[in-house]
Amino acid sequence: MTVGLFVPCYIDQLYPKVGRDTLEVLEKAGCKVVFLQDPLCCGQPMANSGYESKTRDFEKPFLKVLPEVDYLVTPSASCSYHLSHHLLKPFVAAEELAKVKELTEFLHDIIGPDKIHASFPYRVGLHLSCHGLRGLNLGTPSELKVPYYSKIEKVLAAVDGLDLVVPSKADECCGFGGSFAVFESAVSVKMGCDKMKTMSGAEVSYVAATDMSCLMHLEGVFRAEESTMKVMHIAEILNAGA
Amino acid sequence: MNSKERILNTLNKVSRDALPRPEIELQYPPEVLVEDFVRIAEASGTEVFLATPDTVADTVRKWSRGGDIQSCVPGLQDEFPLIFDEQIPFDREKMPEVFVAEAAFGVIENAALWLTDSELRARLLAFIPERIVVLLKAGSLVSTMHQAYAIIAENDPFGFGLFMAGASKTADIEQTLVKGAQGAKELAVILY
Amino acid sequence: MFNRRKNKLMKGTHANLSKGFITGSEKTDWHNNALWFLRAKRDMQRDTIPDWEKLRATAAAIKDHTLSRLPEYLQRFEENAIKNGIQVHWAWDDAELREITASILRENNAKSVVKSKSMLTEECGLNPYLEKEGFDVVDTDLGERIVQLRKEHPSHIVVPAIHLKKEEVSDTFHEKMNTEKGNSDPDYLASAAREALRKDFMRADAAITGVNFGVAESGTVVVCTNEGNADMGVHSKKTVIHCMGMEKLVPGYKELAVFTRLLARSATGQPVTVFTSHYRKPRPETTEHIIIVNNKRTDIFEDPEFRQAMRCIRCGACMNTCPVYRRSGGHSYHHTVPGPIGSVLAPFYGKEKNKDLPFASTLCGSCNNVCPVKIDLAGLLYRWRQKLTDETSPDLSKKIGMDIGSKILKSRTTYSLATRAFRWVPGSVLQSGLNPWNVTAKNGHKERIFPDVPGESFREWYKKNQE
Repeated sequence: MTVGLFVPCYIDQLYPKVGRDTLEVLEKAGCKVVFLQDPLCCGQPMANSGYESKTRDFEKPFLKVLPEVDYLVTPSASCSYHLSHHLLKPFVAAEELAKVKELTEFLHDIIGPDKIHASFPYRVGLHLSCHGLRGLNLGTPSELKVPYYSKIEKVLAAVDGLDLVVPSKADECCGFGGSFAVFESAVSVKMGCDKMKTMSGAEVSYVAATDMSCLMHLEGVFRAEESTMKVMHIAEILNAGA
Repeated sequence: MNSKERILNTLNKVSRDALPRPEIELQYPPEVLVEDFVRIAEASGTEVFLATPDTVADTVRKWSRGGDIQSCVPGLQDEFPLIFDEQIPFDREKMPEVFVAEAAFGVIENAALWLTDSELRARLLAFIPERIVVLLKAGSLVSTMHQAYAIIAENDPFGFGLFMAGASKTADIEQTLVKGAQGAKELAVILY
Repeated sequence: MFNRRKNKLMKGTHANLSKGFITGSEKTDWHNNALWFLRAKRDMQRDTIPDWEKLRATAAAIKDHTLSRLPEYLQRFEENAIKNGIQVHWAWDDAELREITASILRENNAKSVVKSKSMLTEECGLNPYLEKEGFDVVDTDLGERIVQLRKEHPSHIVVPAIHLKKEEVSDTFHEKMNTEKGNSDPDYLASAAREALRKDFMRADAAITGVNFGVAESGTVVVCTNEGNADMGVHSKKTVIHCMGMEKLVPGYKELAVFTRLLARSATGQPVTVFTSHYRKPRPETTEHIIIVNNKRTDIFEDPEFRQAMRCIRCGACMNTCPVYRRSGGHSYHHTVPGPIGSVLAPFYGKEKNKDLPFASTLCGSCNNVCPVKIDLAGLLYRWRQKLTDETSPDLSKKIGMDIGSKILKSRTTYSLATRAFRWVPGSVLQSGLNPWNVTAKNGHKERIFPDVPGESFREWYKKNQE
């Protein structure tokens, strides 16, 4: 199975370890991984700021590689959501579009959690990033009356020793929101602080999520408040220890 | 062109194909359970009494704690005559302290009671007394608003119709529940 | 200096106004929790209905059907209302609603009015107009009365005074109604308001209400309240006016059932409002009027993308769940209807002045999931962002930033150059106030810090290790 790995711009620059862990997790799961050199960004930072028009041609490198891979996997739910719901949608048939997968979704739907071998003996609080949960349906959002399921929990259940906590309001937005974090910094930081409080209330050592963008915001708040909690992308946990 | 024509013309210009009127196919609880009605009514702060036709008047009297009672219910109006005058609605002399009416039916899912002009006699009587008692035959319960509105649509058209589901209340000050915001401060339902 | 200029430009925007609300004090947290309490109550009610999601889908389909035949249903509603003895008026815009209302009051020699909750009349500026024309207007919903006495606007469409603490209400009542100074017991304050409002009800000549639903097949007007204040006016006055937005129609009673099941459950987590009043025929010797109001609704209707916003039944569930609304307060939205639905509607009432509102959201999508008529609120906010960027004056610094970002991210050459340059930027600069990511409170306390930049990017590592 050939998997095209898309490493989003901010992960490339600020969290290269998440890219490395994603690559290794996919390889350990038996995939032939091709790192996609050309797509640099899904266009979300501009589009969510009202400048979708400035992401014209951003689709081209994706359209070029999509036919060449079985799946296009990325360790970011919001980038995956933006690709499948905005950037590529006008150009690609639904079947082809379904090849775009967020990492956890891919591991759950295509690989199967039994192929994961990792160990992370810590108490970890799960933050349910909005786009993964409500956009990609990775689990049951708290608003809906639908039978409970969680692809993220199922995948993380394969990690040895992991003490996973889903605290109250786990699916309340962390306050990142792309350029919202900067242009609405007061609300953004307040939301991050509140998230920090529910997480520290749950006495976790780490906060994990499908999106490094949420975690970058939370990390920024944790550090400012001198919290001992650390952030960790799900790929880092899935590649830990084993 | 007047505003009506202007509005309708504008809408007509852009109206697209009419969508079909949807079928309403929702689950109704199959059984009608009085206990559910009681539980939901009490959760909304309504007092519920179970009575028999013979004990209704007594129950009303006890609950009214000596207050002036007025009623338009056929079996009770001799004992508790209605002297309220709609023309002078705020006249304290004529305003009942306790008003007793009988609901046409009740709805289990929300403990709402259906009252119309014929059950109320004067519309304001559902709001202006200090306390209200609504009689309800245990056989006159339906499970959801779907059945309730089916009955309403079938019956003679009313002038005023009301679902009452508790005493007047507000939580506008710091979300603190206060009963008797504008209308009745207490509601009792007598099931018989 | 740059910051000061930026603040000046941002004056009156959501970002700026919310800063005032988020004081770091307990009040913000209280507001947040009070609204979350409503969301939690809503969830409990949701759980009592086995096919809740189907109920929502049905409600959305009913509204879409009704909107697709709106002209026909409006006419049917009018015919039936007239048959029932109610006079029907049509208002193209806010000014016409105000004029029609004033002329009805004048014709009936009404000097004073008791008014129940109506976001429509708020939207149309009815109160200030009537007051200017010499009428005495008293809002009778307790929350609305509180904000009216304070000369404020509702900060929420269902709980209008949710931005106030009881001590503030106590001060206002002491000043305006002579209640005991310092007594902030909600029971005491509500009972003082009840006594005062009873006098207003007695004194008034006419009653005005909003409308929750208009039933086309029977010409019935439905008004939902918990206090019973609409009915206190409607059943005691000789002149009665109902102001109805034209999107409020439902075809018949069978459809009304769906909405009376959803409205209060979504709004406040009650199984139904205490009073659901159906006004069909006037009392003897009473004149009853319905004013059907457009006020830009045809603009929304005309837009195929945004028409779904007209499904809205004004339950406020999107506000209660919105993490931004809960922390920034309704007034920071500077529009009659705040929160997610307000930000979708606001640009129809002024693109330039409301262009910040669709950006006052993280697009988390929680609002979509609680909306009883399934409006794609986050999707519409995203659409507005694109449209407003095209159609209003640009924020230059943002535009330049986006231009640069787009150029860098579009080609590997520029990306590689720019990111290499980025690695040369000293940490001290990245951690300073020059980086807009870093947030520092007025007292100098750091609130958010930029991450440490690693020695090499993923691409650099990959090149070294894999190729």
